Amino acid sequence: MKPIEVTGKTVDEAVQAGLSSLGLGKEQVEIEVIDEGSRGFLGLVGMRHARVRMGPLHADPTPTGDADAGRGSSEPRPTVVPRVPSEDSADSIRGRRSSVPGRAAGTGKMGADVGVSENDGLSRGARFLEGLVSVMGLDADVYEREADEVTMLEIEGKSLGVLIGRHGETLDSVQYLVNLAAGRAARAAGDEQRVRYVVDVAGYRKQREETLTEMAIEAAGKVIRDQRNQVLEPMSALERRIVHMALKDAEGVVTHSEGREPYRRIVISPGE
Amino acid sequence: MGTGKKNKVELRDLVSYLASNIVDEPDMVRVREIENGDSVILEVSVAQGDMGKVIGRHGRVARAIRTVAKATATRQGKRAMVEIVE
Repeated sequence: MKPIEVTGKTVDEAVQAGLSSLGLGKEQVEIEVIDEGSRGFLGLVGMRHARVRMGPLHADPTPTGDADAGRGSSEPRPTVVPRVPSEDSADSIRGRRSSVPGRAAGTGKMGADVGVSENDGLSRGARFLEGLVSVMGLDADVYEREADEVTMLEIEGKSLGVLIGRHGETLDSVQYLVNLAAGRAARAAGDEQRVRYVVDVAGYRKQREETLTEMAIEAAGKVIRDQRNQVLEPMSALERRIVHMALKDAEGVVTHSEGREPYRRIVISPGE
Repeated sequence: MGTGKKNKVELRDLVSYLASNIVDEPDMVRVREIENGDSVILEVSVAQGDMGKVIGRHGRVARAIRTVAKATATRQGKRAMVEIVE
């Protein structure tokens, strides 16, 4: 199957269109964003369509469509955890648009500290996650990468929908458990250094971030038009943060959160 | 490795792995698997002092373990229930 080029109002819509014409799931394709498009001013003026190029990620002859529904025909394979993502796997899915911090990127400070006390050069979180993926019987690799203030653990492989779940519910649980297990291991080793881990599967979080940003801007436009509050769906703290950040510098709206977890939700109000 | 057969995932091993990595006394972690057709009940017991650790504030840890166990079970066409017992 050859890569195809698709356009849409947003990157997300273009990707969706591409997925259905390829008959593949999000986890199974490699996506390169050629043009993010422009929504103009709050989607009102100066719009330009988004363009993406996408093709199958692996030479996988069986497009299943929905990875979530897959009963998983994956064979067990020992998980290898390369410290640095190779050119063609973890990095490619993010597309060229984002400048991916490589091994030496980020602040460097945390990167140096993680792994120092480790026997095989991997962080505690990565080792726990590697074990978890393997005990779940998944055919996947875990890649570790330092980003701003967090350690990114990226899982790449086949049929990983099971790790994402509805609205990333399973992924959030996995991430929570990784942080918990790594924290306990650190305490047990007398290590005061607190490392925060973000776990991603086949670029899911990246994708979700784009979706949430789109939605936030759309809702903000409505707030400005109607001069009335917009209450968003309940979201996790991580997702709420994305929305707050998306509207941080937006003129005419302010955001805050209301309610208790797990039903805490963002309210967008008219403001400066 | 790679026999071509469908990978058999032991839910018990999964739950045990998760629990052992978040408690202070991993040796005390026991998981009993009760299978009934497509349903599987996983009874987890830990050291008395670790109860709070596997349950977590507002049951958050237990919920995370359940979510991962259920997702894995669903993939095998099963229904899993994780219970933390004294």
